[in-house]
Amino acid sequence: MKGTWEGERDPLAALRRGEPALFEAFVEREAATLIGFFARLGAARDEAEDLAQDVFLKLYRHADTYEPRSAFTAFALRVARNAWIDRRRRRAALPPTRSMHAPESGEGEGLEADLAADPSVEGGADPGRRSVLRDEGFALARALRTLSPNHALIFELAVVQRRPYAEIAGELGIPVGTVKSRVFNALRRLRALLEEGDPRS
Amino acid sequence: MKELPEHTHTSGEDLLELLFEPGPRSAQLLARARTCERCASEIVELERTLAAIDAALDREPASTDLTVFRSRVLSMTTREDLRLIGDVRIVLHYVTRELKASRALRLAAASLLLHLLVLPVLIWLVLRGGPDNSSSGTPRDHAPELPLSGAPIDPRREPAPAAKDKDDAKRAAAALDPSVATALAAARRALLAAGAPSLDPDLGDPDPISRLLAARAERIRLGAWMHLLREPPPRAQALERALWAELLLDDCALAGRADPRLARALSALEEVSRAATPGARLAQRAIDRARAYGLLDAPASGAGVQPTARAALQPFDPAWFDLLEAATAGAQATRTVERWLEWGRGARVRPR
Repeated sequence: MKGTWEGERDPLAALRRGEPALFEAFVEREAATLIGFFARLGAARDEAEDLAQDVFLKLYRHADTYEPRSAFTAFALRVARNAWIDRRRRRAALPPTRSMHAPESGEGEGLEADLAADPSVEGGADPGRRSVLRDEGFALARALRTLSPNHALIFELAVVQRRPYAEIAGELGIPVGTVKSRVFNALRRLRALLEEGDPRS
Repeated sequence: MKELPEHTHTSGEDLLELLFEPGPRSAQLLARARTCERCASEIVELERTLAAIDAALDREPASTDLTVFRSRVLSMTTREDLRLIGDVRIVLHYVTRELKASRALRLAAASLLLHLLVLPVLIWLVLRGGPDNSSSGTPRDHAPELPLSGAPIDPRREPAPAAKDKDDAKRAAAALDPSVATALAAARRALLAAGAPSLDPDLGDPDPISRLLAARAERIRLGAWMHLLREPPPRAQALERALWAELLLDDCALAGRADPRLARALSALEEVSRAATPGARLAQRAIDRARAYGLLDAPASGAGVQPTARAALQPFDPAWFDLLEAATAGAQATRTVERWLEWGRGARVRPR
């Protein structure tokens, strides 16, 4: 998360007090964070928006019964993670309609599609650098989809959001050593996949 | 953070944590680790990986899209529009999203839209083909086909609904007494073919006889009479009662159904038709005409109109005009009565 949403700045606690401004600021600030989170996990752009919207709606509707026992950021990310797991379960329950070698419907389009449409990648001044960035971006997007939900969540908190390990451990209720090893394993796996090229090959 | 040992080898997990943790202490420890070839190589690899990840992950969706997204979320939460239009907006968003997601749904929606567009055109085409929508013509052209109601016509009944289509009319005709049907059809043809005397511009004529004659002309020429007519009072003359009955009989022949007032009009005629005056004889003619239309039973004596003569009994014939002239001779003839008598004398309207 980009902002600080703990303590007095807890958006749901503020909603319970009848102050919607903090929740609106939370939506304003973290919309891109949540959409990016789902896109990195492999959701297509539209689906990532839908999932992010569902997370905001769940949080908002949960405000009446919300008790700030833990950090709000961790709570919001747990809701996001559960939304992603539910989405994967729904997808798994659907009958397969595509080739085994084809990516899951809706996946392989998220970050890759963003990269393909990103003018900073496509329109850079150096064609060689542009190509490298684009290739690395595609490979990384594919590699990220191979992470388990737990590793993906840790990766999101540690690598993307650069939150201290101790804080992540406290939020997720796991030892710091576990956080440290999961982050390193996730990164090592990504590095290996990037070195191999296409992780599906 | 645990203290790194003096020796050069440091685990990858610790090096990664140092890379994530900014500050002079981390920088110092990393600098020390870089002096070891193995650790330095690990640090370079980690930095390369993180740089590649940052290059890919730092790309955020376009701000314009996010503006729409944020507005949508807020409109469903803190700024929810509780009016009907807010619900409509949410439903539209849902429908749009589902349509984008499913090709089958798009096909179904397109099919539904096509049907909804075609349906009004079909309805219009069907209605356009109906008899009531002929584009031009005189009021005569709009006269309903006979017979339009079930038969035989009973003036004591409430008016039956008009036949909905030609098949209904044919079935009703088949159920009608053939001689009655013939009489009605002949009367209708005669009324339509004869036209009627031109209307007296002075429609405000207070004389009840004139008003009744004008109403007959209007019914024949325009399809309805404009005057506000009341049933003749109990003490009305035979002529007035006869003309009132004739008007309702014209209406019955043209519309194919009997006005509820016709039963009372015919009943009243019975009382005044026994005299030998012209008015009484006109009343008797109206009674005969009603019998020809099947509205009254034949008298027990058999003195009524014979079935074979029914078709020949016309609404207007020289005898009727002679009786009208005789009945109005004693009174001061109004302009309307004069027109009717002139029309009756004309060769072209003499009955065939």
